[in-house]
Amino acid sequence: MTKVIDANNIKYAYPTIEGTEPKLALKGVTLAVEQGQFVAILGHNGSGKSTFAKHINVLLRAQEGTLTVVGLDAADEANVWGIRSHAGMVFQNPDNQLVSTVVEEDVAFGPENLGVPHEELRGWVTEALEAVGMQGFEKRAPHMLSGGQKQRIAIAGVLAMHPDIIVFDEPTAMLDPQGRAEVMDTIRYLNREEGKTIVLITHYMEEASEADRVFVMTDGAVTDEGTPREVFSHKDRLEEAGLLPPLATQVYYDLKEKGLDLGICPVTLKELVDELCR
Amino acid sequence: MLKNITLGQYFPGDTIVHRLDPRIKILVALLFLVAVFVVRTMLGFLALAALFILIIALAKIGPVTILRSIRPLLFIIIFTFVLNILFYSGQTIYWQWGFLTISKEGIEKAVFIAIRLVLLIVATSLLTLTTSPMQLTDGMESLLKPLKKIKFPVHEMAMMMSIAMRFIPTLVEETDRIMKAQTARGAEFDSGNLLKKAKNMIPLLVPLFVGAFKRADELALAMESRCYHGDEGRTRMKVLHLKRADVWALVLMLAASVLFMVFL
Amino acid sequence: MPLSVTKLNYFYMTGTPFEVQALKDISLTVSDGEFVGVIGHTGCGKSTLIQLAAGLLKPASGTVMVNGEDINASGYDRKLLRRTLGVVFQYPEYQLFEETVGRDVAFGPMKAGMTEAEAEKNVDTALELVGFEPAKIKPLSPFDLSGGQKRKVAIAGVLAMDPQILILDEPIAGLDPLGREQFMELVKKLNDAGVTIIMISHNMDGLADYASRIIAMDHGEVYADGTPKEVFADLDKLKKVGLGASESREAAAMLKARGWDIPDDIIKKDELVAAILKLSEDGKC
Repeated sequence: MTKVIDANNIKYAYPTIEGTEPKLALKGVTLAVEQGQFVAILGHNGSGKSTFAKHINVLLRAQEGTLTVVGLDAADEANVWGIRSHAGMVFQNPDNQLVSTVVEEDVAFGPENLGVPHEELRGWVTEALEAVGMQGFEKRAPHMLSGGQKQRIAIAGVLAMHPDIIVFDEPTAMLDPQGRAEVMDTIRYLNREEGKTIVLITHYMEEASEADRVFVMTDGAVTDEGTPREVFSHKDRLEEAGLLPPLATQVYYDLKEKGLDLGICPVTLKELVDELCR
Repeated sequence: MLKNITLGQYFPGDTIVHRLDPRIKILVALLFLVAVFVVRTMLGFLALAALFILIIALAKIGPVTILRSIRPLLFIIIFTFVLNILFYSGQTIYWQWGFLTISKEGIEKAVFIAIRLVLLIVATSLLTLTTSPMQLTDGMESLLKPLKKIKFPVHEMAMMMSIAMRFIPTLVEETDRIMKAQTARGAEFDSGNLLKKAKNMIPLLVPLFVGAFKRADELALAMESRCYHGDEGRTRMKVLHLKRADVWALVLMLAASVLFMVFL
Repeated sequence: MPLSVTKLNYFYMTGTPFEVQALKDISLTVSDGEFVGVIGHTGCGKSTLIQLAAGLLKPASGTVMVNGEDINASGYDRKLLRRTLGVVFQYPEYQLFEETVGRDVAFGPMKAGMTEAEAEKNVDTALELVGFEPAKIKPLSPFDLSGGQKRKVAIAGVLAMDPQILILDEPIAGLDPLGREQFMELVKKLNDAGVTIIMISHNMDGLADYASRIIAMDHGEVYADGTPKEVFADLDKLKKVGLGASESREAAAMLKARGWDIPDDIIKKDELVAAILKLSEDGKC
């Protein structure tokens, strides 16, 4: 397996007002993501997870440490556009990332910037809209769509650039349950059917439980990593990170405390029910 | 109420008017603006109005939408109307009080200016309602291309315009939300004299601007992450090609406008 | 301070072909001290309902009575309404505007006609309630705070008006798990102190834990209304309009589908754990 994201001891501090001590938002983040993996990064608000995400797209540059994305060194100015075209990014607020008042024109924005020949552009756009299930919305105005639909348009806009990696920075934080489900379905599809490497920044445990690998960030550093089951079973470490395991895991622990050991620690309700019914 | 503003907003459709080349539409709109100023008879206005109505019908835009685009400027129309009636001193005077006079000529002038303003708004609305902001800016960019030679930032201007268009509905919604939130805290937006009113707007304006800056920041990041780096090397999905229909439209409208301007 | 609405109707885009009826003949009463959770899809009319209840929209027909008085009657004292009924909107942090936290939180109380001393006292109490040290936070600019802190300050700005009824529109959106938990605790504390709570939320688990009543809305009508146990018990009914229940309730339903003899009124984690233990001890699974 090739590492498509390889971060070593990344440090970053946001610029501050003169005179005040700069505070490190990232205090040495080391993590690696393999091709085709679905990775979730969990953390409380202010844990640095979004700051890290912006590094993958070279929207921020590490002040210390090294980062390579699809084999390209992020510190090298010459690689900026190469990395951005390979690693797309979907942000939290759908309203603040759509540039056009027409859906298809918005989806075309990325590939247009890449200089995709005019004759091919239409095809790229159609393909991307189909992948997110938004075909038929080409001529619509984004502001008339639901939150989930807007977010899927934003995903299509990134997808149309044919990236290998898509970074999702809390893509469901502003959506209702229906919108969340739509976006999660799309993410799952992109990972499984289109083979995209997914980095999902979130604080919803249920979303992270679907990932192949979970990283937990606390105060600017990775404090835990592993499969969802491994990470969620480290109850104390999660709590230290200001997170709560999903309900299924909580129930597992409560039962264990009361003397009923299920053996395998479940991370989804289905797993819990399966374990109980075994 | 705020949600109903349609000025400068695209009304999606797939009619012959929508499909016209944006450059042609911009030129025709400019032509109409000139015509509205040059024409000075009622018959001329009627002819222009008839032409506009024909285009509105072709574009399948509801009359309500058009009327709504006039509404935000209704105050200005009424204001200039009243001003013209009261302050224009004509020959046939109906009523006089100090420097205020109502005369036949004043009324005529007021009516003319009101009609002119309405036609101006309708002409520009016709352009913005049937042309998506992206197309509009593409058209502008293409028309202004010669200015690039003198280092005028044509592409950047066009981009800024289209983003402004994109954010109008978002900001309108946000204004509505903040107003309600502050009203719930006891803020009043429509009481008191002008100075007090202006002061009352602070709880609305500060959050609105703070929010707009945040949006601008995030949008800039999103655009960068989608590899936006200006005009260089950028291709277009929708390339402007003049079709036969476009040329016909331009010629026809040019002929009609000139006709109106010369004879009416 | 009971709040009741009678035969409430509301339309959007009236007079256009896009006219939508957002609320259809809604009648309901919220009594003192209740903690009402309002659930429903985006566009089901729940936001419209609370805006009408708060006097921020005028109904097309029907009445809104707060403490027995029609708030839309001419001559009704709006200032009284503002002091009685507080509203926390979604993302309230975007309503901050003053130079200092202290002044921002005092905005509502001053507008409601409190004296400066009264307002000052309320500001301190409200800031303490949301977890700040008033003396430390008051001189700071609200714009220098973190997102979570801003939201707390904004909520303090509403609490400082000392409302007897507090309406909240999805107040925990965007908060992390701990933030959500803290916030629900705060609302619980207010409710325990006698404040009537009406809270729109998608967070069924939070409502299962804290609400005393749940109103589900669909297409501008009340679809279900009862205690959390009653409303969540009929899971099929909720699913029919695309809604769900708390996770514990969902888990219990899944177990029941597998043949477990588990009751339908399990909505909280502790209840679920207790039921599983009991059933496994009895060897019924």
